[in-house]
Amino acid sequence: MNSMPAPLLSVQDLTTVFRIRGGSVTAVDRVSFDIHVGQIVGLVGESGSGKSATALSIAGLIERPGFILSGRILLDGKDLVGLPESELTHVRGRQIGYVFQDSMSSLNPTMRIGDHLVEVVRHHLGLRRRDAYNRAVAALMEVGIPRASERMSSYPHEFSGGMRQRTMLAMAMVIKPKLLIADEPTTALDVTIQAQILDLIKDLAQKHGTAVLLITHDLAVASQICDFIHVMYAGQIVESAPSQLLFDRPESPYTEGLLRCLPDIADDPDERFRAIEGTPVDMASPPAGCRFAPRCEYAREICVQSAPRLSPRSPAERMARCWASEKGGWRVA
Amino acid sequence: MSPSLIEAQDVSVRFNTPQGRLTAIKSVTLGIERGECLGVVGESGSGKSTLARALLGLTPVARGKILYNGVDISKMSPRAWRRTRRRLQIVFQDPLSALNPRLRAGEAIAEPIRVHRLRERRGVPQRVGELFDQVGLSRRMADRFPHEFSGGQQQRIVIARALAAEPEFMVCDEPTSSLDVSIQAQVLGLIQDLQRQLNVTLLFIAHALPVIRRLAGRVAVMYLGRVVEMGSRDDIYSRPSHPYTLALLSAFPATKRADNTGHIVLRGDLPSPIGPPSGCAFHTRCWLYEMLGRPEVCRVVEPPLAGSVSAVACHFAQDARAASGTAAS
Repeated sequence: MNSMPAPLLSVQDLTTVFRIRGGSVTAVDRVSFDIHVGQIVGLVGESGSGKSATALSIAGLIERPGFILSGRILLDGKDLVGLPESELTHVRGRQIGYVFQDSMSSLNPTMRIGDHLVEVVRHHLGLRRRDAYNRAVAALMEVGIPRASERMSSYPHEFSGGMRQRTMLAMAMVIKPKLLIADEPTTALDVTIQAQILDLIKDLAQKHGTAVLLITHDLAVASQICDFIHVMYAGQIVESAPSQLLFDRPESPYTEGLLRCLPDIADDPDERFRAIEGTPVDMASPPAGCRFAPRCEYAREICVQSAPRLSPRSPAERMARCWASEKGGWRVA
Repeated sequence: MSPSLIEAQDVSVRFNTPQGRLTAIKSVTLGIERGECLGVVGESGSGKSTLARALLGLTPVARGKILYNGVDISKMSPRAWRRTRRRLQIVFQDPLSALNPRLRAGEAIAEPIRVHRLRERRGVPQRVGELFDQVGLSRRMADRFPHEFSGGQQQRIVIARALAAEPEFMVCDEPTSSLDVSIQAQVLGLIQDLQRQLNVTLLFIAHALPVIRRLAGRVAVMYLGRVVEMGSRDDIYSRPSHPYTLALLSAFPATKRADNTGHIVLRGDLPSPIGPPSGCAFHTRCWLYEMLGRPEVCRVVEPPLAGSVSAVACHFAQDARAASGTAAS
């Protein structure tokens, strides 16, 4: 392990809390993970799992009534937690690119595509107008927008959903960030366009050595490009594993259930759908023991009473939070 | 072949837009047999929802006709149509916008029973209770408002309300797209069970093929308003022969197979349905067209949907499956 270079991003015990009327919600509960240069890491979970709150925390975009309660976010060795806003803006603008799910609401409908890019370049890199313009055209070309220099003067509504998402990627990549955070970048897109965008993210990451954090609710999307996947449930990471291993042998019952829910063209067509029963956790009052226990088919007394910790499995890089799959546990994979 | 419950004969639907006339569906012919589930798959803009709306009489057809039990619905008297319409129900993608926010769940489900006088007044509460059971909701929840339910539960209410009208034919228009993954399978399982129990005829619309694999006995694949391939589940999933079907199948990541090998990535976006490409509408994005050296026939002649049981609209369908192995990157 000592031979491994230091990770580009190291999130350590991150806890993000939102104050609500009459209490607080711990949206991110002691989350830790690393991303190395050129690595694509997936953070997968359903709505309310804390995946987006984690991403926003990393980018310093958590707003009141939310705040980072504790933990460290080391980007290239520098802790971003508690950094003054001015310095944070600098880091964000130079080193972190962010792609949001809904491109239509992230682009200004009255601004030309080119001006979006030129603004980013001039503001964060301080280039002159002409240089910024050339840089913007190059960025559009790189994300596969045909006739890029002509398209600089188009408006967002003249672009298709796929092209707008490419533009978002260009805006994130034009500053040559060290870390790209892609928050559900393909959710609003058709399957054929989704495949194009995922391929593009993978190509860009490889070409520039960008570390990528992919946020998605869809394990199938994560499987297409991620090297490593963390599965979140109710604010906590419940399983971490290299992608292939996660799909071949899930350790946590929640991951197992999610995989079972995924429709796959290799499924036995006559088999009934097997869902995860029950509903997601009410985060204002999470269960005392394992948060998944009320929906878990393996749950026993101990699961309801005592919360399991995220503990190593084999091989060593893989972790799971589950009594049943711990050594000596009763779940047989 | 047994007669179809509902049938589209050479149906075209057009809309006038500021940019010009848009042909949303073009010359679609298909029948759905009683008790069957037909899956319709295509990207947004493929015309799948317009086809469903046309079948339900919710959108006027420019050409062709819709037959329900052999009767042209456009020729029905208002009274006959009112009686028929109850038999045709639809479940939309977004349950919250399909429910009246000020109507309690129990009232929402009771409404169609009262309106269509399907039970005596005293029998309504009991029927509502049965429907709650049928869709897996607790009867105690009947007094809650829609926003007090989770997305999956809201969709169950919508399904119960559709069933309350005792339909023969039900359209499910991407009913699980807005739901969390773990909940999607619950709702799909529910629809699967209900179809088996109640013998409702279903048209199930999805934007991806894997979703309907376990539901649909037959599948129609649509592209730019045309049906490009139609066949039994086995035809479509095991012996697909349209290059678009092959691309759709490979666009979906195989999570449960070890060989997560390459996939065919289609270039570009769906062209505008206003002024679609000449000849075969798919040729501008077709990998087979490129592989075959851009044959002129694809640009000039629109391929007919050929074949009796399974049908495909492609000039080179016989080459497609063998070639797809090489096309995957």
